Amino acid sequence: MKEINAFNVCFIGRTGNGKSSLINSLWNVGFATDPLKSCTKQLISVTLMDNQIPGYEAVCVYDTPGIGEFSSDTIYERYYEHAVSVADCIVLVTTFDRTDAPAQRLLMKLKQYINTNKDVRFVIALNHIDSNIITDSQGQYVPWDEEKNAPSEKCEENIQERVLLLKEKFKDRFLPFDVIPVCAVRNYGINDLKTILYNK
Amino acid sequence: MTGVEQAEFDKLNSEQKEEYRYQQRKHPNWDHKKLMVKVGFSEKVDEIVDKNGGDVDPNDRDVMEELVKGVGNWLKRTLPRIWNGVKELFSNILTSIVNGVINFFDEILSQIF
Amino acid sequence: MVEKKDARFLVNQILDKVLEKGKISDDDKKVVNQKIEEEIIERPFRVAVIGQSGVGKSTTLNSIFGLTNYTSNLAEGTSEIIEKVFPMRDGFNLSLYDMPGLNNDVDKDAKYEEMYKQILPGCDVVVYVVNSHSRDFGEDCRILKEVVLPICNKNEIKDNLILAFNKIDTIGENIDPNDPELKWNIVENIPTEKLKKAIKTKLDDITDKLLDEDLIGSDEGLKPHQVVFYSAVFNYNLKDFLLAITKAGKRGWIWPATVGFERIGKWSDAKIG
Repeated sequence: MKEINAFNVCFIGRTGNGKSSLINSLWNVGFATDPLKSCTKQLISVTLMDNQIPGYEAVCVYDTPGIGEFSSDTIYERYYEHAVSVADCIVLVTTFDRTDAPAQRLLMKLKQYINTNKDVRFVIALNHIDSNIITDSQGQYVPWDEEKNAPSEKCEENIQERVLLLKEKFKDRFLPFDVIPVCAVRNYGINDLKTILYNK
Repeated sequence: MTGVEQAEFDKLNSEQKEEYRYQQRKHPNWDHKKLMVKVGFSEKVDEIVDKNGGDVDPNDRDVMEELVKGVGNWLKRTLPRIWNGVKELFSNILTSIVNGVINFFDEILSQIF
Repeated sequence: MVEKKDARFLVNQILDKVLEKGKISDDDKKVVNQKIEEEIIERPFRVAVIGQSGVGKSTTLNSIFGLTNYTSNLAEGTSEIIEKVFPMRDGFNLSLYDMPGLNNDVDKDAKYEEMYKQILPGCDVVVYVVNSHSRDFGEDCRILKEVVLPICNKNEIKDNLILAFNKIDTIGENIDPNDPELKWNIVENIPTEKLKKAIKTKLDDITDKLLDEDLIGSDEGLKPHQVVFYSAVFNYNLKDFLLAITKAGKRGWIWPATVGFERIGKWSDAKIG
């Protein structure tokens, strides 16, 4: 069998955090995204020819079912284990929503499956930074500066607060990591994320 | 279905029966109890979206009924002898509430006696 | 003549009339009054509110119990268990445990679980709040099955539990935050036609899951009336919630029997705490 030298990236996160949208933004794959129902029930991995990463000819993307979707992830546990064990890079997709315990639990469980013979990277992508569901119904919070296509000042504050919180919550639980704020649908932060993913 | 279950099913109106069968096809592993619960919820959900919000009516029949039951049960547990002397009255109040005969609470009591 | 009626709770009115018409002796009437005092005045009405972060526990307390409380979305609203005692009226007290959000952090969760074991058994009503449009409902099911229900069953307080699905008004925003037809009709305080369909679909999905997980429709699970769907922010469908409280355990009826109707859905006016 002729194997292909692929850089394996595994995406993990709660349903609704936009893993699939993020993957689409990065590689234009065309994964299904639907706000109402969870889509990633099939175990999807896609291999794309991509020579942007030195030493690799392709990228193999593992999209996983949302954490917290199922009360006992038994069927999918094996898939997570497999995806993590082959991963060169693991991306946790999170949002401002501070229910981080399911992700903490999952990563702590999966830590043992990381391939210690490789230099595996871990990145936390803070998605949906343009969301304004975080304030109440009377909020005058304007999260996005449309002109600059960037977060507003107040949003930047929120981002920094969230980044600090994430650094605290995931410190020493899995691997060392960076937090990259992104907004998949607005194409914000995607290049920064790519740089980190590809940087060897 | 057991005899008891069949009897329960027969009590449903035709719409509910249809809903029951629809849910049965959709969830073949559900037992009768689950199907009955689901039929109840399907109706409840329709009710929720179709009625308006707003202040809760202090004369609300359902809440009043449960409230009176609660008081009665408390009395029965705490002072059974006294309860025996008034249990029929409680029963009458509950019947009136349940039948929706009267709305205002004062009226309930004054009308019975 | 002084209108004494207004100063007395519903439960007093009910008992007074019944004892009078039942021709119960004055001595016995005294005993009843004393016992009801013990039941509702000497012992506060205890409520615990639990659930994941951001589900609207605080706004639920505002709407259902007419209390002002700290409401926050981004930062932690409550980071420790707070028992607050709220004097309501005529000596009747509401005691509230507003619990911190679950699932924020594994270490904190372990701590909270221990606290639940101590606190929940003493509560008259335990409200588990869920965000209706959350898509990690699986986590709520896990918490209920692994933590909350075992504690309730062990202490025979399963009947005191209410599974409260909040935020039915924002179900539409999850589908398309920019579609005006999926937003709540604030003027009439009802869902728009399009939102009605979305809500029905979502609630249908939720009840299916509850049944699949044996959280309802099974002997170990909850009874249908213990599950309520509402919007705290818009005070929508609070009646089912009040009914669930009234039917909760042995003492739920005390709430509407005292001040429940005065408080519910009026949190903008209530300034307690």
